[in-house]
Amino acid sequence: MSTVGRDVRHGLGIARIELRRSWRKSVATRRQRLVLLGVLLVFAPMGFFWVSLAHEAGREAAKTGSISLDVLGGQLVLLAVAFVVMSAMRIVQMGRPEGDALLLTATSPRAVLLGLLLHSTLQWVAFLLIPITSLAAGFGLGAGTPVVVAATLIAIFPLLAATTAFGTVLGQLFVLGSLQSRLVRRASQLLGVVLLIVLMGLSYAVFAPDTVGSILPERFSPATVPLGEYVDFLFVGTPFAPSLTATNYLVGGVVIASVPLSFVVADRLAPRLWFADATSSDLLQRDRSAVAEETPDGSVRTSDKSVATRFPPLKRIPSLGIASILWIRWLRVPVRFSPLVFVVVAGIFGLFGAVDDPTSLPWVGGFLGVLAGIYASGAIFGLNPIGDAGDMGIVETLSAMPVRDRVLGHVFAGLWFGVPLTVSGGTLLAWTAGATLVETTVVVVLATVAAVASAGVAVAIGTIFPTLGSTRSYRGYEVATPSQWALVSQTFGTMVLTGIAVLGGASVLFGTELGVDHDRYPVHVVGPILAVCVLVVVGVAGIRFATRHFEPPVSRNG
Amino acid sequence: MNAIETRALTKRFGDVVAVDELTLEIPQGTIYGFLGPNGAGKTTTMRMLTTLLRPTSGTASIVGTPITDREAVTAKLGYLPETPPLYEELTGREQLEYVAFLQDLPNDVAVERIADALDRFDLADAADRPISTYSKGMRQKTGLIQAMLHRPAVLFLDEPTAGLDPRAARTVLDVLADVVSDDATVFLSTHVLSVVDELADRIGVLHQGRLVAEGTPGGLKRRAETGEERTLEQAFLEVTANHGEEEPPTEEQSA
Repeated sequence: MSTVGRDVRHGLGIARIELRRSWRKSVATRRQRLVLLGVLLVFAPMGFFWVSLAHEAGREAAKTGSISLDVLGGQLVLLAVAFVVMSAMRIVQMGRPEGDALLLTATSPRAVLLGLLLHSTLQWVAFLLIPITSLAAGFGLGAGTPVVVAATLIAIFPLLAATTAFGTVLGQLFVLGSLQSRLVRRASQLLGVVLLIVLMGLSYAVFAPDTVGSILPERFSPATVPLGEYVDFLFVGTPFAPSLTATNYLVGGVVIASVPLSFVVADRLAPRLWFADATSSDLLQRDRSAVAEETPDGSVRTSDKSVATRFPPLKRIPSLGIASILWIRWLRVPVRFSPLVFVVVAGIFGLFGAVDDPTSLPWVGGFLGVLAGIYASGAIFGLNPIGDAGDMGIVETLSAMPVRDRVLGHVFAGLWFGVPLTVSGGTLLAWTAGATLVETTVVVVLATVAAVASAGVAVAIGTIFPTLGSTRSYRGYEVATPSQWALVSQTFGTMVLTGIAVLGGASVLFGTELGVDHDRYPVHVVGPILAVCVLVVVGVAGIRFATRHFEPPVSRNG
Repeated sequence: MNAIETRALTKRFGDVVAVDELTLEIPQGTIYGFLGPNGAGKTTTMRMLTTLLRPTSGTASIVGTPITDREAVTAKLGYLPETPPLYEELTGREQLEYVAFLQDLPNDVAVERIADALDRFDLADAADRPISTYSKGMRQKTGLIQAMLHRPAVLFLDEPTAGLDPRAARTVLDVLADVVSDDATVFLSTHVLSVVDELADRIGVLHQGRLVAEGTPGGLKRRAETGEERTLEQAFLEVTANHGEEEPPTEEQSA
C-alpha cells in the first residue's frame, strides 16, 4: 500500500476511535445522559420556534418565488467565521495539537493530523446535523421543495471541513508565535476572552443581521464578503436556486481547495509543535519558570521570604487565605473563568439591544453590572469546589483547616469578583433613576447581599453536582470545570435572586411613582428589609448546606 | 498505646469484600511494611485508616483516637497517596507554604521546616518553579515533604519510592528512618520488597482483603517447617499463593 493510502487508512481509524471516545465521554454516565436529555428538552421549544420560522420563510418564498439570499449569505459568512474562531481557540487553549500519544506508534504525523481534523469536522457535523436538517426540512416543507435538505447537507460539509482546517492553521500559527514571542504569550492569556466575546458577537449577529448591518459600515458588512456567494449551493435543485455564476464556482472551488491546502500547511506546522522542545504546559510557564537568581560568583540564590509576607497573602483569616489561593490558581489557568460565558452572552445581547436606544444604555449597563456581579459571585469559584481541588482535596480534608473556612474561602473568592460589579452596577442604576444618597446605598446593599446569597447558593449547588474528573485540558493543565447542571442551576438561581433584589430596589426607587402612600404603607422601608432578609436566609442556608456536604470524593464511596 | 489499632475492620463495595475483618496492632515508633498483590485491599485499608473512606464494619484508632473522630485523628496523621496530591499551578515552595497554612503551622516554624526539607530533598533550586515542570521524582519528594510538614504521629505512605532515582530513594529511606527515631510510626505500603526488607520492623501481608501473614522480616523469611532461610520475595509469593480461605497465620506459625 502506498504511503498516502496507509496514512488515509490510519487517519480514518484514528477519527473513528476519537469519535467513539468523544461519544462515550459525553454519555458515559446516567447523569450525563440525563443532562443531554435535559438540554434537548430545554432547547426544544426554541428549536420548534426556529423551525416554524423556517417553515414560514419557506411558504413566503413559495408565494413570492424568491428568497433573500443576500441576508442568508451574510449569515453564512458569520457562521463560517465563528467556526474558524472556535477551531483556532481549540488549538490555542490546548497549546498544541492533541494526539501526542499517537506519535510513538507506526503512524505518521500526517495520518495523526488527518484523523484529528476529520474527527473535529465530524464532531461539528454531528453537532449541527439536527438543527441544520430541522431548519432545512422546515423551509423545504414550507416551500414544497424537500430537496433543499439534501442540497444543504451536501454543501455544508465542505464548508465545515474548510473552516476547521483553516482555524487549526490559525491556532497553530498563534501557538508557534507564542513560543517565539513573550508579547504573544502575554496576549494569549487574554486572547481566549477576546475570542469568546468575538464569538458571542458573531452568534448574535447571525440571528440579527439587520442590527449588524445598521452598525457596521457597508464595506464591512458580511453580505459583501465573497464567501456569501456559497449560500447559492444550499439551494441547488430548488426553484429558488439562482443560476450559478463564475463567481459561485470560484467561491465553491476556493472552499473545497482550501481543505487540502490548509491540511498541507497544518501538516507542516503540527510537527513543529509536537516535536518542539516546549512541553504543552511550558507556554504559560516560560515567563515565570524560576525566581532563582544567579549571583555574581555563579552560585544560585533562591528567594526565601517568609510565609506571612509571601504566601498565601491573607493568611491571618483562614477563609481569606483560601480565597487568595483560589484566585492565584484561577489567574494562572484562566480557562477556569469559563462560567463567565453567561455574563458575556447577557452583556452582548443587552448592549446590542441598547444600540437602538442610546438613552437606555445607563439602565442596561447598570442592570448588567448587577446581574453579572450576582451571577459571577457564585459561578466562578462556587460551582465545583470539591472537584476543582482534585487530589489536593485529600490534603485539605486531612488538614487542620475547618470545612466551614474552606467553604467560606470559595464564597469570598467569588465576592471579590462579584461585589465590585454589583456596587458599580447598583450605583449606576440608582444614579440613572435619580435616587438620593440613601436610596443609592439601599440599592447597592441589596445588590451586594444578593451577590452574597448567590455565592452561598453556588457552593451548595457545587456540592450537589461536583465534577470529579478533569474534564478539560488547558496547556497541559487538567481542569475540572463545573457540570452543566450546576451552571443551569446557578443561572436559574441568579434570576430568582436578582428578581428579589430588583423587587426590593424597585420598592425604594419607584414606590412613590407606583402610587403607594409611604405614610400608610411604608413599602420603601419594608420592601428592601424583606428582600435583604430573604437573601440572607438563602445565602446562609446555602453555606450551611455546603459545609455539611463538603466531603472529599473518596469518602463518598463509603 | 499502639499507634494503629484495628479490630475486624471490613470494607465492602457492593458484593465485593475489599478488606475482610482486618485486625492490626502496630506499636508507636515502628515502620510497618504493608504488602500485598495488586487489588489486595492495601489502599482501601489506608484510606479507611486516614478517614477518607468509611468502614463497613469494625473499629480502628490512631494513637488511641477512633477514626470516626476525623477532626482529632487528622491532626495525628500524614498521608502520601500513590499519586502525590499537588496543585500544579503553584511553585513547590508555594505548595508547601499553602499546606503549612492549612495545617495552621506558625510562620517561623513553617519557614524553617520548609527550608530544611527543600535542602534535604535537594529541591531548593527548583522550589520556585511551577510544579507542572517537575519530574515524577520531584513531585514525589514534594508530596512526602508536605505529608510530614506538621510532624504527624503516624505517617501513611503509599509507594513512597515509586518513580524515584536510586539517590532520591535513598534520601527517602534515610528520612523515614529519622522519622521513626523521633517516635513517629510509618505505615508503608509498597511493592518494593527490598525497601520493606531494609526498613520495616514488622510486615503484614494482605491477600484478597485478609491478613495472611504478619511478623518481622526475619521471621517471615524463615521457613516454618525446616527453619531454612529464603528471600522476602519467596516468602511473599508463598503466603499470597494459597491463602484464599485460610485464617491469617501468626508470626509464630509463619516462622
